[in-house]
Amino acid sequence: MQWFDWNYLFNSVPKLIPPFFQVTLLCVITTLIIGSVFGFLLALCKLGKSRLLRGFAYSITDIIRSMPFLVMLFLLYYGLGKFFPKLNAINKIYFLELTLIIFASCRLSEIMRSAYEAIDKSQMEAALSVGLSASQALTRIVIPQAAYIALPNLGNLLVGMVLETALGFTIGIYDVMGTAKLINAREYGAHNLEIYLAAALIYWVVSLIIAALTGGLEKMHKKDRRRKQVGQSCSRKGEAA
Amino acid sequence: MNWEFIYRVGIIEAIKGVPVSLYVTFVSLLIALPLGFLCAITRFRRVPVLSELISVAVSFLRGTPLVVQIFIVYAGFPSILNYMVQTFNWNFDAFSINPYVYAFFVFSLNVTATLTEVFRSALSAVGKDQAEAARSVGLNAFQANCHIIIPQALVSAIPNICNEFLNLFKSTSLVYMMTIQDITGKLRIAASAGYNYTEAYIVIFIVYFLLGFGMEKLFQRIENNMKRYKALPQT
Repeated sequence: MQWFDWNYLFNSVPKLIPPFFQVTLLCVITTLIIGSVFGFLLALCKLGKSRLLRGFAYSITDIIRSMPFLVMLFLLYYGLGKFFPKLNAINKIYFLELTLIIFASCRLSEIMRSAYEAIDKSQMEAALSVGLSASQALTRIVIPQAAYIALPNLGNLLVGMVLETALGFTIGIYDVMGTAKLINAREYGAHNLEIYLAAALIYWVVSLIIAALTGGLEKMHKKDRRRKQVGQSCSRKGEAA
Repeated sequence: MNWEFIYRVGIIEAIKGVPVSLYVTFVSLLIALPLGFLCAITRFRRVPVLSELISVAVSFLRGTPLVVQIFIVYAGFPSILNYMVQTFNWNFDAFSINPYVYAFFVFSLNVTATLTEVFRSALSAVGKDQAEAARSVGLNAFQANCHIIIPQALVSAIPNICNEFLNLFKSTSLVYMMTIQDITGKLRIAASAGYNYTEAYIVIFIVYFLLGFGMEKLFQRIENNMKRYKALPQT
């Protein structure tokens, strides 16, 4: 009896990669697109003047934030299926996506709000004073700056979402974790340590890639900004001379 | 909707489950706090080999889902232990370990990884001038750390620790996979008798909301109290 089989570990990694692209990545990308729309709307409510909308947006965020992902997933899965029996026929992946979208839009709204508030008000005022309209000032001055402030948080959110999709196996979705469990069950748990380590390896690599991407973007932006500042100071010196 | 299930069974089971969830949360956090602090200091001081090892471990623990970690430990570890028992002829049953041991192990390791990063950023936020000033008035390195640097670092780490506590409390809903009956586990068992899953999850939703919201408000109050000890912004 061998206690750990390296070959088995490396052979089972390729089996787990297709479900990653077919389920996990697809889920995360659709969630990011739909979630950022709702997140933007929620952030608008939070930053807007209407007290009613603000209260609504903040209380929704508070409720969602105090919920475990798993409980929300089960609540939607069993609850929606009970009240709308037609929904039992659709693909289970939609329940996972719905849960992810609910969580992601709340978190994205918080990220957007904090990034917007981090930009100094003088930027907006300066933009308006040189004759840009409010929407131009937002899209050309405030949002580009806010986007870079939001970048590290966005990376964390993405990693968090990839990791949370692993809970999809509890309602019977065959993502990386679900497939690992399936393979494990087929072999009566003979290699359970290796197969779960293989799944962990995939998630680890993906989260490292996301962290490297966001880190790289940030670094690029910093370098770009420093070059622009240096350029400005040089030209100013030239004028003085 | 089966209202009778909610107020006859659901609420009672949920209240029975709350101490279990809190127990796992508190014990894991108590293990993780000193461990995370030690790891953070090792990383901060750049101790040659240990520092790299810790950074790899932290990246693994934060880059893989908690469920996968639970399955690695809960499903994988006993088979290794069993193999060791058989080869060394120990008088010990590898499959009889209390699931709480596994739960504490997984959750405390996971939180240690996060707390390492929290403490490290808190330590680097204190600023070098503080240490230099402490040394210049005649404190030795140990005194400077104990009286000047660590208290300031802890104050700036407290919001993050509170946040991590809430996250941990939420993620303990996964312990039902290790056959521990916390809020989720107790209600799932109660619900399976009459397929009252929707009602059960509504009860769990409400319980987690009340506890989580209450704790969040409590922590906000603590943070406001702590603000008194925060250093003034340097001008």
